[in-house]
Amino acid sequence: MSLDHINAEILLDFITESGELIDQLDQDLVRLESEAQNLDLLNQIFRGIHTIKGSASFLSLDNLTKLAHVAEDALNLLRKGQIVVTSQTMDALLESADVLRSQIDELREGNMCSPASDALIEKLKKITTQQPDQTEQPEAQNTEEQAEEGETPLEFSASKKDLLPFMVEDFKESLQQIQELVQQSASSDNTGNLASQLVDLTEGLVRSVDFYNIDQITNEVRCLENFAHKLTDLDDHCFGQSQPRCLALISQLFKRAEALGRERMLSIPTKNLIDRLNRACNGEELPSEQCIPTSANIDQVLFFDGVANQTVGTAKDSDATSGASGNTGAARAEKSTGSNVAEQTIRVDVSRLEALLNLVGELVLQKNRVHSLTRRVKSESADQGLCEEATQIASDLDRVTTDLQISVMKTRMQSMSKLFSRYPRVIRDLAKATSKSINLQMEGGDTEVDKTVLEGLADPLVHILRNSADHGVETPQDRLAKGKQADGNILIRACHEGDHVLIEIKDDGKGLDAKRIGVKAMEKGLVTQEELEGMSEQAIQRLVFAPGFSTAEQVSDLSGRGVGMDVVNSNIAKLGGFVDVFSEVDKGTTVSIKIPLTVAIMHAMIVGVADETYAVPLPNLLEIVRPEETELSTIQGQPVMRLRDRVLPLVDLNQRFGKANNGKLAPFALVVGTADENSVGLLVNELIGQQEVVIKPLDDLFDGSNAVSGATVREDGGVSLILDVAALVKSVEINNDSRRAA
Amino acid sequence: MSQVNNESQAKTSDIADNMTDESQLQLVSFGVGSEEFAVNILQVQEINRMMTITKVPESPDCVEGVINLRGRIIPVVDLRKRFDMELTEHVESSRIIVVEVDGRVLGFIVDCVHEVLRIDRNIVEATPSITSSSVDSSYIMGIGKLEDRLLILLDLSRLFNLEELRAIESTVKHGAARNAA
Repeated sequence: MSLDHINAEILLDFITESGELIDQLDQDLVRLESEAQNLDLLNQIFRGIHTIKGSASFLSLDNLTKLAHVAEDALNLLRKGQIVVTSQTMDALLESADVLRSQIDELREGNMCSPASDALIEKLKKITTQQPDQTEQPEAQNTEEQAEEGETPLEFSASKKDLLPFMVEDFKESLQQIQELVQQSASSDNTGNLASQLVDLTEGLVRSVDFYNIDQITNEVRCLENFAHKLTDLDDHCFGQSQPRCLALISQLFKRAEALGRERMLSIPTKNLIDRLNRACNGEELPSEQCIPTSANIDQVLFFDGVANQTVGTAKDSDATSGASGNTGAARAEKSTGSNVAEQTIRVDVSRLEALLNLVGELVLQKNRVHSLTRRVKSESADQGLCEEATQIASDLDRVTTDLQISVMKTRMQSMSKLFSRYPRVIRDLAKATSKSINLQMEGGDTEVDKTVLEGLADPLVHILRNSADHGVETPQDRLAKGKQADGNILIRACHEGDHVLIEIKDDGKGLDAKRIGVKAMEKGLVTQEELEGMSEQAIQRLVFAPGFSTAEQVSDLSGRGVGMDVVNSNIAKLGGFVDVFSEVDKGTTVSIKIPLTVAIMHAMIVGVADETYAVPLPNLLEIVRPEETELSTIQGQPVMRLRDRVLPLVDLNQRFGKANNGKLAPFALVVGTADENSVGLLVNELIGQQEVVIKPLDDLFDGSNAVSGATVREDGGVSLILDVAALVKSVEINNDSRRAA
Repeated sequence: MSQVNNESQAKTSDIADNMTDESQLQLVSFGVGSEEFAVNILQVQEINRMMTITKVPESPDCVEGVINLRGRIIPVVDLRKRFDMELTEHVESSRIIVVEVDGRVLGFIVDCVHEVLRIDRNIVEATPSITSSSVDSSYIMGIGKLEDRLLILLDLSRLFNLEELRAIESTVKHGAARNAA
């Protein structure tokens, strides 16, 4: 079976929408496990799966519909309190969410979705049949919740039951035709021909419905028949009052047909609607308060005649249902009116945002050039007016560019909750697999970061979380033995800190054992005995980020392949961030990640070294000092300076970059450092100023360079290199180590 | 793109028009030191006058630095250094030829650019029996035997092979480290 019969655009909408719904479902289901009594949550879940089912059946995606349908049944029983939330139920429901997701993935790849396994369907069915269907809830409540709420089972004789599917199919088909005709009747000139077709169709419908003896439906269909008979005689007023009502009635009949297929009878309060429709057809003048406004849509008519209680929730519900019954036009129309309130967003292709960001990057460069031109005008021109005007233009341009840049950045911002939402499921599965009990708390989900950063964070965060759950948190027995609560806790927290985002993953597990890490690192040849002795406890803990390090004695499929934290570290570094770990044995471990909000533009201090200029990333810059002659000295050939109570190793960039420095040390020392405590002083000749720079990548020819990480274009069109502070700091350490070794 | 010898270009292209493309090679020829080289014109993106080159610390020795090519930062290689020739100051006629090699865009400095010319494939000797005094033969694709002179056809992929450029770097680094110590 292929997807050719489906309108590609509608299918794409369905895929995106359902994908999002399932993500939400996943999250809600995990929440449901701990909040079994939360009826709002249950309703939300139910609505989600109901919408998926509705749209899927509209697109005739039978395999998807079937699964969604049984899951919906189970949820419906949960919602009515007829069955309770058990871990078994949740497993089955989560599994169905997974299968639904993979089915939708299949659709995305252009394949027809494959059916869910019978085992799963059976599992779900078993849940629903655990307790037999009990009597329905009172009518009064049903009217409030509409549709599926107010269903009553129907009893048919065996012969009728056999015919039911055909009847329903036939019923729907006739309705479809009637609907089209009624729609045309508003604009058609040839009402006579149209009316006679309508009469035929409605009479046939009445006969087939009569066979099943369902009074309510018979009445409604008769009403349509009445309209068909009277159509040619109706005056404008009566037609205006009856035609929209007919359409409204048809939309409800579609729902009835759907329910009939499941041997259910819906209680839709159509009494007013039928009454008024009949009277309008009979040429009666309706009292003004019963007149529907002209050009009312179906929803409004239903609301007006008391059929539907219009709230956002039910409007959405009916959306799906009418979509399901093949009523495209109406579904589309309803969607657009409904979304006015709900949706204030549009989808934009990411590549367009990328292009926009690049353009803004170029604009920032040009802005910087205008600034430098203005400075030149100021210094070279005697014309006061010209100077002022240039300054004015430059500052206006500055403001607009900055605003534009911020706006473009914002369009690329996404909240951390997009990542966070996946984690409850990850932790739940992991806890189950390892028979641990873990509470996951998440804070700061509304913290926004650039899309690229968010994507770059996805894998590292999952990895750290898995580590915390798998290696950090102990089993309940161990925890109790240590005098802790049986439940482990993991907290993941995100917050802004200036231009950076700080993310912490904190567990109250067994912590990192520095001794074991040390031994392991030596075994793997990452450090030597002497080195180890000279290291602080935290420095040893940081060895977990070293390539090829993993302390897990057994490689589980959850984590511990020995690439973990190393990859985390390098991925974060790629985004210009730092990762650090802090741990106390038996108290827990905190992994913190500090990462810039964006990757394309950063603030930097521009410095001059000999005849070149370099950019020092501002986040790395701790302070700037002007060392006195007396504070300078050397230790084993390494130039150092005394900075307050500590000794700071110095790197003379003139010497380092092979420039002539006529024997004198450059006058300014930039104290730079990374997240770990190490810092060094970079000696430079000149401080030029702070600037926003657009980061441009360097050719991989320069991968070997331990001093620069990128380049940026200066105002004058020249190139300034961006210093790689982390690498510079490291090179000083290595230098010292090799000296010590020698 | 000055320095193109119009006269000889006209002569060669006259002949070229009568031939099919397969038998023809269209080349850009340039001079480094006392020798004349040529590369396939399809690899050449543009030819620029000398511009400010920013040195990149700790980069391979033959890499002069980076330039800003309309917002794009590309590396520039000095061919004199690459060929281990005697270094001279860049002169008025020096040019940066920007090429695309194996998906990378880079520039290289030559003493001067001569001309754009078409030559018959037949006059190219594929395996050079003679090697230039200073140029390692591994990046020579062939020798074009013109009536009055010889053209060394360069294989840019080999000339600017990343590994090889880095290999040069390591020896340089060694030297630098020794100097520092």
